Amino acid sequence: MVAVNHSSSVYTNSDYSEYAINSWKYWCEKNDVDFKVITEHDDRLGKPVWNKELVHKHAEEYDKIGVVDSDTMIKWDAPNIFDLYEDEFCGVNDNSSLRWIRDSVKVYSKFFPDLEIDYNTYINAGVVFFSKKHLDIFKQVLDFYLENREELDNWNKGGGKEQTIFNFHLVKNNVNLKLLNPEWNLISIHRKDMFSYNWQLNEDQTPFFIKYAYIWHFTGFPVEDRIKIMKKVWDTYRKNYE
Amino acid sequence: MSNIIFMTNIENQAKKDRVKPYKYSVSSWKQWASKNDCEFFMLEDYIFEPDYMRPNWYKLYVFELLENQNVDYDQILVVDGDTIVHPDCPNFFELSDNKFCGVHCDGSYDWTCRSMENYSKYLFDGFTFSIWEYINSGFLIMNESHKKLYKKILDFYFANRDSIVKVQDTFGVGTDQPVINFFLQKENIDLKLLPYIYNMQDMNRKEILGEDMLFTKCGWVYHYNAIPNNVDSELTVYWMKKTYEYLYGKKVIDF
Repeated sequence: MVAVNHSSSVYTNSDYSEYAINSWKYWCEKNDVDFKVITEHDDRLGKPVWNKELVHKHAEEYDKIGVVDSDTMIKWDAPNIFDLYEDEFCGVNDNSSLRWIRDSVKVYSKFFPDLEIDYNTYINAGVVFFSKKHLDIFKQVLDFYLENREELDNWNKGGGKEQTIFNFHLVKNNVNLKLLNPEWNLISIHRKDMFSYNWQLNEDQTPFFIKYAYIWHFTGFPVEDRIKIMKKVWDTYRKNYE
Repeated sequence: MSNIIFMTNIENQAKKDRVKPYKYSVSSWKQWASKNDCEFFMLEDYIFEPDYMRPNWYKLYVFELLENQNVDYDQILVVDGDTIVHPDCPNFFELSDNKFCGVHCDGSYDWTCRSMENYSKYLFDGFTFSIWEYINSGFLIMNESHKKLYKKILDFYFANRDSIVKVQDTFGVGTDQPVINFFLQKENIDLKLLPYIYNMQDMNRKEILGEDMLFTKCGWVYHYNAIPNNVDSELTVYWMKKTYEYLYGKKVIDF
């Protein structure tokens, strides 16, 4: 996980990443998984998000690796995801806003004129699990960023920062992609109406996202809401992580 | 033997306008069927009094209806009348691996989770399954091996009709769809999930239902459900007509 406090960010990353780290730390210990948090920014990079690509250096000695964003939390009793794949590249299809994805693919396709992205296999880059052989893809993305740094640091055409570029590199490398169920990276929780609970039975007020997903990704809404929501989730369920 | 496209298109006496745009659906599917060597069948008549069984359930009679007409079939697509297929949609029957196929119900999970939990509690003794395997019943591919499954669901309906109607009326979280889902899981049916492009539900939520017709570039089967502020289904009429004319022109082929 990259959790860097950086001057280019309006909000302090640690205001919310502390809850992400707490949950992942617990889960990793429980499942005998090493947990590495990158808190130092590499000065070659503009925005902190590009630090994710440095996983190719940080994880060389591992067989299976996961890269997770600092706005995610994992459920205390989530199964061990590393047992659920062999050597595929695993991610969750991001189709929350197909318009955003279409626009993003369109603006970044100038760098990849010969490649096409299939919306069915476009993944959210905030939670990915893969094997050692895929580390080179992260190096390729980093090299791509460094080659185009000036343009990417001043990018004003929308379409996000790293995710679509990352997806283009997955296509370019013809990776054997394994699509996981959304429970492994529940994005756009608000858009899915999963912050609510079963108000008709009214027997259990546990929100649907807690009940039906393993990794909650608090994205797609303002950062001030993210901080409040992640804090509330941690305060409500922290006992399960003790 | 052909593959079959089957649709029910029953005029609701209380809401006659509701089926008005379905002619666009029928025409699109008829043309797709012709292009892909399939046959199109449509049920337009009531089988029972609506108080006894709502037309939503009639799709479960697909096997009986085809066999009564001595129709030989290979695979069957049972599709809702509020869908339009793109003329260039690939032949999805070739993707089925001869399994029961559907598309995950991807829209409001508040609705889907309540649907699963409420039906679980009141009709299936607490039996439950992964919400990520809950499918939308508006686009289902099946074959003869699933005849027994549909018979079981109908038997269940008649044995529990009053309870089912009560759950339908009390909670409003589905009619046939939740029951089909529970039976698929309880009976361990080998289910193949097809991608969203073959049953594009809740397109407004995906931000693709717009005047630029972006949805027609994102996939193949458009399902006009869950449109906000859809008073008297006026927006369903609007979008189905607009889509049809955009893809097929103004000529509508009658059944």
